[in-house]
Amino acid sequence: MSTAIESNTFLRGSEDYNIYENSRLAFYPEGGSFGKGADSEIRFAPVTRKPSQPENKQKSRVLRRMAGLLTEIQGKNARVTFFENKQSFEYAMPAETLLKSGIKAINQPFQMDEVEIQMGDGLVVGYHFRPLAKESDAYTETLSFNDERKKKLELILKKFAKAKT
Amino acid sequence: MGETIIITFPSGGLGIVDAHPSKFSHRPDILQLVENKGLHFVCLTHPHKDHGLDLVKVLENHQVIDSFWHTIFEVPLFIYTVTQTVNFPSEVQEYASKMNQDWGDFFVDILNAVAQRDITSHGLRSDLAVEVIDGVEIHCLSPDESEQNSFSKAYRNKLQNLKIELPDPNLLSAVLALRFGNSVVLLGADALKRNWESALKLYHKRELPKARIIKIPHHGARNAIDLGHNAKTYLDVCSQQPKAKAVIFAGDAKHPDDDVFKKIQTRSDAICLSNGRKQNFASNNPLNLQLPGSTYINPAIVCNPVVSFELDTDGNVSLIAGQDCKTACLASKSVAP
Repeated sequence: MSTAIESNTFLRGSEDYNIYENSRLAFYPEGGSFGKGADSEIRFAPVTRKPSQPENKQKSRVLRRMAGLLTEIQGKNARVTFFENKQSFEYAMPAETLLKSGIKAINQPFQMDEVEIQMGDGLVVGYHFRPLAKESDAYTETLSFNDERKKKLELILKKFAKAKT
Repeated sequence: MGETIIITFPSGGLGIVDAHPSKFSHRPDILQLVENKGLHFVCLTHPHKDHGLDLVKVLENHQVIDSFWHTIFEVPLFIYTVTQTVNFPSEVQEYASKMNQDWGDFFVDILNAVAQRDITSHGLRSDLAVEVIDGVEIHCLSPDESEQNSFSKAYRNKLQNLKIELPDPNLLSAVLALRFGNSVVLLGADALKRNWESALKLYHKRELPKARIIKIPHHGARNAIDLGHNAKTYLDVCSQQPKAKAVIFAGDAKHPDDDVFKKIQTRSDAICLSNGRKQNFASNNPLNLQLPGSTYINPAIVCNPVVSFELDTDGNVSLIAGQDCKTACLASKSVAP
C-alpha cells in the first residue's frame, strides 16, 4: 500500500521548506513489502529507533538528497539516472511519480529527497521529488565535436547530401 | 544494451544485424567473429547507439563489405536534429551534455565510416523489393512509408522549434524476415506495436511460411506487443507445430516484461541470451531506495552467451549453441552477468 501527500506537507529538519503544490511524497505507513515476484523485492518496516531530534521539534527530516535526470518515458514507465559521488545509477520507476511533480521532459533535472517522517510512534521513509528546472527552462545545446569529428561531419554531409537515402 | 546477430549464408558469406560490445567479454571481439569472411551487409536496424556501437569497428576496419543497411533517411536533416540537443540549467547538466555528446559522436563515427570507405548505403523500408542473397530471400517488413513520413515531418518541425521532441527512434526499426525455402527467421529489432500492425499485414501478403525462429522485438517489452485477448501479435506468424524458437535478449533488469514473457513461453520455445526476470546476485539496489515501484536497472543475467541455429530449406532447425530457457536460466545462477 502506498499513500501520497499531494500538497503542502511541511518538512522540518536541517532546513524548513514548503513542498511545492504539485510535489509528491510516497511512503509506507506500515511494514510490508513490494515487488514480490518481480526481479527484486524490497522490504520495509517502520523505523523503530528514536527520532534524531526531540519529537516536539521535528516531524520529518531530509535523510539524503540526490540529483537525477529523467532519461526516458514510455507510457507508465520512466527511467531516471541518479548521480552520486560522480557515479551514475539508472533506475526505472512509475512515470506518474515524476509527472505529478512536474518532471516531464527528457533530460529534465530533479532533486529527490529521502525524508524520514514521524507517523504516530514510528518513523517511515518517504521520497519527495522536485524539478531542478522547469520545462520552460530548456535550452538548445549544439553538440561540440572535436576537430577529427568535425572533419567526419563535413564528409558525411557532403556524401549523404548527394544521395537520398 | 542491444544484441549482436550474425547470419551465415549458404556460401559462407555473412550478414550482421546490429552489434553491441559484450560488456563482460562473453564473446570474442566482433572483428574476430567476422575475420576473413565477406560481409554481404552490415545492418543498423534503427538509430540507437546500443544496437550499433560495434558496427562502427566493422565498418571502419573490415575489408569486404557490400553494403550498409539502415533506416536513417534524409541523413543531413537527421544529423542536424542529433546535434541540436535539449538541456536544462542545473547542477547535473554536464551529465546530460555528456549523454547527448556520446549519442552524437556515435552517429558521426558510424556514418563517417560508411562515407569514408564509399560503402554502398541502402535505406530500408517495407515497400522495397525482396533482396536475395545465396538463395535466401530478405523481406523488409518495417518501417513503412508512413512511419518514415512522420519522422520527416518531425525533423522539419524541429527546424522551426528545436525543443520539439522527436518520435521514438524504435519506430524506425527494420523488421527483417529471412526466408530460406520453408524456413523463416524473423528479426524483430526494437519494433513497437505500431510497426507490427503493418509488418504482420505484409508478412501475410507476401505469403511467407510461419517463422521458425524469432528474435523477440524490443527485449520483450510491453510496448512491442498487444496483450489483448484477440490482438494480432508477432507470435501469430510463428510456427506452432513445432513451436518456433524465440530468442530473447533482455539487456537489463526490466526486460522482458512478465506478462510478455509468459505469453512467449506459452507460444514458443524460449531461449534467452539474457533474462532480467532472473534474480541477479549483483547489487539490486545500490542506492538503497525504498521508493515504491522503483527498480535498479541492473545488467540482466546472462543465460546463454551465444545462441546459434542452423536451418535447412525444409523448415528444420538445429540448435548448435545455447540451451532452452528452463535449462539455461536454472544454470544461470552460477554465471556471472
